[in-house]
Amino acid sequence: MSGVPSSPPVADGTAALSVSGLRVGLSSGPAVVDEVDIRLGRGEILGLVGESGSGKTTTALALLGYSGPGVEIWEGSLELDGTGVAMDESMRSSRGAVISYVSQNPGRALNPALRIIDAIEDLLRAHGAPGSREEVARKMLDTVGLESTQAFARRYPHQLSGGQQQRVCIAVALSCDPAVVVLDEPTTGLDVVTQARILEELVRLRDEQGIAMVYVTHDLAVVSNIADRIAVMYAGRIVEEGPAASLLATPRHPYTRGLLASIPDHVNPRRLDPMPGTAVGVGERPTGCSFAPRCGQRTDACTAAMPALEEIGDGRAVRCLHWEKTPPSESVPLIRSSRSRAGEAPLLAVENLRAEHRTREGRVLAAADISFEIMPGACVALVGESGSGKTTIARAIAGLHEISGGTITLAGESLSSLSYRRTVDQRRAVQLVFQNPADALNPRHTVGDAIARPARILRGLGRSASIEEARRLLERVRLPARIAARFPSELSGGERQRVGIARALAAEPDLILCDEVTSALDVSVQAAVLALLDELRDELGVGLLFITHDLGVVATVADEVMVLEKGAICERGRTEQVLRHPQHPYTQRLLAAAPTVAGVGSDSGRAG
Amino acid sequence: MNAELEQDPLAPVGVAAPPAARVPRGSHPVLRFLLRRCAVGFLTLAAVSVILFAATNILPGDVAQTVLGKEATPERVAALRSELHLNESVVARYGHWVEGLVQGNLGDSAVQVAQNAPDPSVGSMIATPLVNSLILALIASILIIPLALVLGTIAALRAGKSTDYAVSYGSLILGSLPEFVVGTFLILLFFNELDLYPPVALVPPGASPLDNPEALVLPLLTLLAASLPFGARQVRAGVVESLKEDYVTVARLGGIPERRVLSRYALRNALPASIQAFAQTIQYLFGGIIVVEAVFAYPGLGNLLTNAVLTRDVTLVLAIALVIAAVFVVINIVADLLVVFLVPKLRTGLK
Amino acid sequence: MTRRGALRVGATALAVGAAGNALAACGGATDALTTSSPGGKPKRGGELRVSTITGGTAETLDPGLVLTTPDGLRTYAIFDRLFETYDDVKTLHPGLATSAESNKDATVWTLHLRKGVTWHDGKPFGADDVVWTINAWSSPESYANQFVVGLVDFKRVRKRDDLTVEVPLLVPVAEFPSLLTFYNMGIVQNGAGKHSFAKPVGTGPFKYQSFNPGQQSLFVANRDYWDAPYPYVDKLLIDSSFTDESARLNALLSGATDVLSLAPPTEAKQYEAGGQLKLLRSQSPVTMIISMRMDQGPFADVRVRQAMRLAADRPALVEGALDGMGQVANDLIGEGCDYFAADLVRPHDPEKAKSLLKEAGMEGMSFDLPTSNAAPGYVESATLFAAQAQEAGFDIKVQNGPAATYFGLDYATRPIGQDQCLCCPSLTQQYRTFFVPEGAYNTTHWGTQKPGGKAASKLISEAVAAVDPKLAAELWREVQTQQFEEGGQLGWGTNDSLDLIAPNVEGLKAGPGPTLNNWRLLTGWIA
Repeated sequence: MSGVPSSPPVADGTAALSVSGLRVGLSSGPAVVDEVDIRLGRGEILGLVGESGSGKTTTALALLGYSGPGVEIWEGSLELDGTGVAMDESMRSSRGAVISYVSQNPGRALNPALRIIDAIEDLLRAHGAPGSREEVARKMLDTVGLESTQAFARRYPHQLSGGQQQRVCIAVALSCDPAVVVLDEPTTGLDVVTQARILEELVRLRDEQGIAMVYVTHDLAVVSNIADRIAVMYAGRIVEEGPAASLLATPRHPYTRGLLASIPDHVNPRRLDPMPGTAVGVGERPTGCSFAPRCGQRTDACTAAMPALEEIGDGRAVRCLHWEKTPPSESVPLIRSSRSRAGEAPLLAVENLRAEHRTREGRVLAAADISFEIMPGACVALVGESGSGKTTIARAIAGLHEISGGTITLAGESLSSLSYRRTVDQRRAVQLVFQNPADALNPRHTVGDAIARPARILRGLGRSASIEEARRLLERVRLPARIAARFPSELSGGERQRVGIARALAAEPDLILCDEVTSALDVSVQAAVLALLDELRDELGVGLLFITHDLGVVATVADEVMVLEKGAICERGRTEQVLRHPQHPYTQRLLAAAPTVAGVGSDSGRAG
Repeated sequence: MNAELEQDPLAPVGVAAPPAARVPRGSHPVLRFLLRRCAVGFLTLAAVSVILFAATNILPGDVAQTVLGKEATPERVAALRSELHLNESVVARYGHWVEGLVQGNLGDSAVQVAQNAPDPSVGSMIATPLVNSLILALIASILIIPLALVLGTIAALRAGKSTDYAVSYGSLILGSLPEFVVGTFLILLFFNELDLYPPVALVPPGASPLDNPEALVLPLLTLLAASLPFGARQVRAGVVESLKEDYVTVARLGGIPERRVLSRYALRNALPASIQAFAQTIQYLFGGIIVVEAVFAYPGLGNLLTNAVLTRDVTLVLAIALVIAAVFVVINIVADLLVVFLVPKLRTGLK
Repeated sequence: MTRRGALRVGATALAVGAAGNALAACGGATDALTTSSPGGKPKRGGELRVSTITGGTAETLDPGLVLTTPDGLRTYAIFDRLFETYDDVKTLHPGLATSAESNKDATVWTLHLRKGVTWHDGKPFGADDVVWTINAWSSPESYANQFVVGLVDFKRVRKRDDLTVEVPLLVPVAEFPSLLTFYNMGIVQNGAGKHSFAKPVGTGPFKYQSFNPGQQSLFVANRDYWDAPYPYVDKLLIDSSFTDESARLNALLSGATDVLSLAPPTEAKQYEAGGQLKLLRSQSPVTMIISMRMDQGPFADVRVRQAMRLAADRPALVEGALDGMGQVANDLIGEGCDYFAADLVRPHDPEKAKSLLKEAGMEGMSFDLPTSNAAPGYVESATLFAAQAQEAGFDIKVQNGPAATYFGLDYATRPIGQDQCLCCPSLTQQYRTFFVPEGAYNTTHWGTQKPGGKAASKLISEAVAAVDPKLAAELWREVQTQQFEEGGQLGWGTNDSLDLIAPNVEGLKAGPGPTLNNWRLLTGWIA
């Protein structure tokens, strides 16, 4: 049931949007986006894909003649519906009318003070739309699959679910019948099931109304489901472009290939192949190909000059001198060797755990009747939507949430659910790594301090020994030791998450609880972090409880999986078993909705 | 695809389902909120009254002695003690006082009783000054709110530019000067130098301060100088924050005219925070009014309070303090109510 | 217990940080230094607006309870006294009484009342009103009580006919009518009780129209006033809402008010030259005093008291503490009265002071001098004197305390403190107030000193009773010499009476009384 484009783009010769020679830069100097040309046919969906810092959002905003504070559009000529427009504030009247925008976070994109119908009517009013505004607005709600009753139309954004909010955003964007809609990560904040529905909706709207769309995302899997064409951006430039199926099947740019190899997939679980190095920042871009420093097929020519975006036929273009050498994507199936030995005692045993939240209305059950074991060196995944209780379970095991029933046993010893009642050794043994590494690190402590502290407190190391240990651990998580002197704010997201892991390792734990540790990271960084965790449990025999909503990640790292629904485990089993043959309808629904790149280009592998 | 299906396919435990249950149910929740806030305000006042009463009645010595001075003859002290019910216990006196309050009687001025004044009731002494002060405060508020909104918004829009610095630092300097310094400076400038406005705001008996609006110019300017900066800075902060919000960018990208984006998107959402700031500003204004009234000899509550303190008229001080506390409570309730009206999330969340 | 403190506290405690507002009644025949010289023929009509520092909510229209400057201004507008003093200290002008005479030994006084006077409500004024008023003074609640208690035989005061009242005394008092001029002595209507002053009815030049304590009050001319052509103005507005001295000055400068009653010396000096504002300045008998307790404590030794008096550099104190707006005094009070010993002059002699102190065995004597800004010049003079007295070998620690309680609990009992005398038309009134054991403000405890206390008291009684002018002169000379040589008052200077008025205000004069020639607003007119 996933939304798949069934009809080809309605191309009639005139571009809905075309931009050429787009250059956007910081007021302070360096270019953020350079040499970008985009042509979008009517009713076409272009996936604009890139990781953070690639310039994809800057490009998307520039298409509306908008640049954020401190950013300027330097050059570029834009035609909308065949008419040239200046890419500046003079575009105001075209915005919303000819080209409109849907932003990433629907919860923040809607004015909390306006009823949703007013939000739509505001746009209609701004563009002098004819007819009864209320009627049009109500019709728009209907168009995006929402109720069009007056009662619903008079709701405020906070009275809607995330999915409904995003539909309202889309309704606003479509209300003046634009030729092009720019969607900036429109489903990133939504759960997979809602995401799947929104994607389906977008395709339907395109089919019915012939609206062209630029779909900006970091997630190749998502875009593979809906895009007609995909443009991959790296370091401010488009490095590869082409029809979706062909591009995904035979990536020609080594970056595209690396990106695909980094995506964990639940349909075809495979060993991730992280790209070396990290993306270059704005202003640090080398002369020549920006990807050259990370590229396995680099030659001297690559670093001499920036390669041009070369047409290679089949509607494809690639910015690589050696694109012909790029090897085909390979999928190394994941061979999961059981790391736990039979007969070994479990590291962690949770029995009949029950936890509640206290709210103003009273107690709300967060998790009930949770029982599971983790063997030393094993990885157990807890999967569920946000609010399913998975984080509460992790916090209870870490001693941060008081349980109201059940027992937690670590290596045969019963654990109190209150951290302060645990012995130092018990506290050392269980470490928690958080979703958002930026929040978890004290911004006033250097990275070295952050890592050395648990080593001192929980392992009793001396000052110099703990600093030495911090340097060792930084190397262990593949960060240069000099990073120890830096502050968290000076690091990238991936670096911070590695620091978070290093800090957990400083305690020499037996069990690491990973709470959505990769969900804030780019896929290529995620791949590297997942690889690191895999390596750690191999080498150190650490047990992992891995909490995630991403089934692809589960498929990649977990030996066992438990699916949580409304605080209860609805399905559990060996990972392959659960993912291949889901029994519970909830698991089935999750799997069906989860985006995948598997099978793109061949018609066989679509999920569903 | 329909909305019902999506409403909460996987509604997690502990997360209340957002839909229909939260649709506003007429004005009743707001009324209930108002009543609740009034009840809280009433309790606040009750607590304040206890504290004030205790502070003025459990002092060493007693009220009669304090009012009459140490030279008063024992007979006079005794007479006044009985007139003021000082022979009864503190609790009983508090009871009498509260009983009077409930009937709208703020009590008698101890000094006036001691003076054998024919009408010693505090109510009749307070009425005119209170109205005068409220007039001053009201005009000041009416001026401050739009000015703060305009200046704050301008500063926010020009954040980091010279206009912003001018407004921000100018207001910081102005706001940090005590009222009497500003007042005296304004008198020097507008009266002594330019001879534009009178330096005092006397109100003849039976007249209204509004009869001679010219005289109100300098007191109002002084109040403005003292209070506007705080308000403007709060508005600036609020607008700067809301300008960063996604919905402002999205509105701009939707082609909504900038003026409308500012008013309906940025300012509209900065307003609730600003209203709290305005409530504080107006409360602060009441503090400033006491000084300003002295500088400009304006016959308001501040002047009366000064008089009451100087004559050690404890019951009058008590009554004025209570009236000011009541004004503060009312301002807070009004502010809360406005915020609730302006923030749909709060309004619809009312039960 | 004295009521002196009440007089002061009520008034001066209010003048926090501002110029004094004390109703220091005065007496002392001195030349007026300034008058508001009439610019042509007086005009009728218009409104006179007078501003004073507030008396707060303690303000009253009951003459018996007058405490503060605004009270004085208002009750002088509404009421008359039997005799009035103005222009100089000692002259008694006929008021509601046209004359008074006594029997031979001055124990029974007959008051002849003015004919044809009517109350504001139209009733005729007569002996019943006077008898009623004098009887009202017998109540200790009335501040008038302190001037007549122990003298008047209240029960026997009687009406002889409609315009004649007989006042028998308990002791002979030769200058009895001089006791009837004080601001608490306003004559009220027969039957007037404490509730009559919400809408007071008087015989004075102005009729009550509105009043709120600590705010503005309004009066209209009494066109049937017996002392025609007064008053000139149609309306009188008395504004006692000012808590701040500079606001009051601004009001005058901007024309929002016409008269600044009791101007602070600094402002007075600023506008002394005239031009923008007119200054009414007159010498006055209100004397600044450092008062030492004689019956016990460190100042019981007369040598210490004299050393203190010799240590004071009076001209420097007048200049430094009064901004020069005053005159040097020589420890005696009652300047301007009959029999005043103006020839007794105290030198500044720190050397002699030192030797006296040595003689007394009190070399390097150290004590605290409590002060406060209860009246202008207190803190400054205390500080200045402490420095001067160092030369004589005193070690004085000035203790600046709260103004509100300065005339409070320990006013009459502390060993040393500051004070001011009143403006009285006779030495009888001055000495009855300050130097008899039962006197209201006897802070030096004169008459209780040992030895000689009783004799000293007796001497004062004899002087008060002396009808024969020659005998009186002798006795008062003796009283004052004793005071000069043994007394506990260090009177170093007198405050000038100071008022500032707008240039278009005419007819108001400077006088020795506390303000406006002893409250005479009736003479003012608007040019």
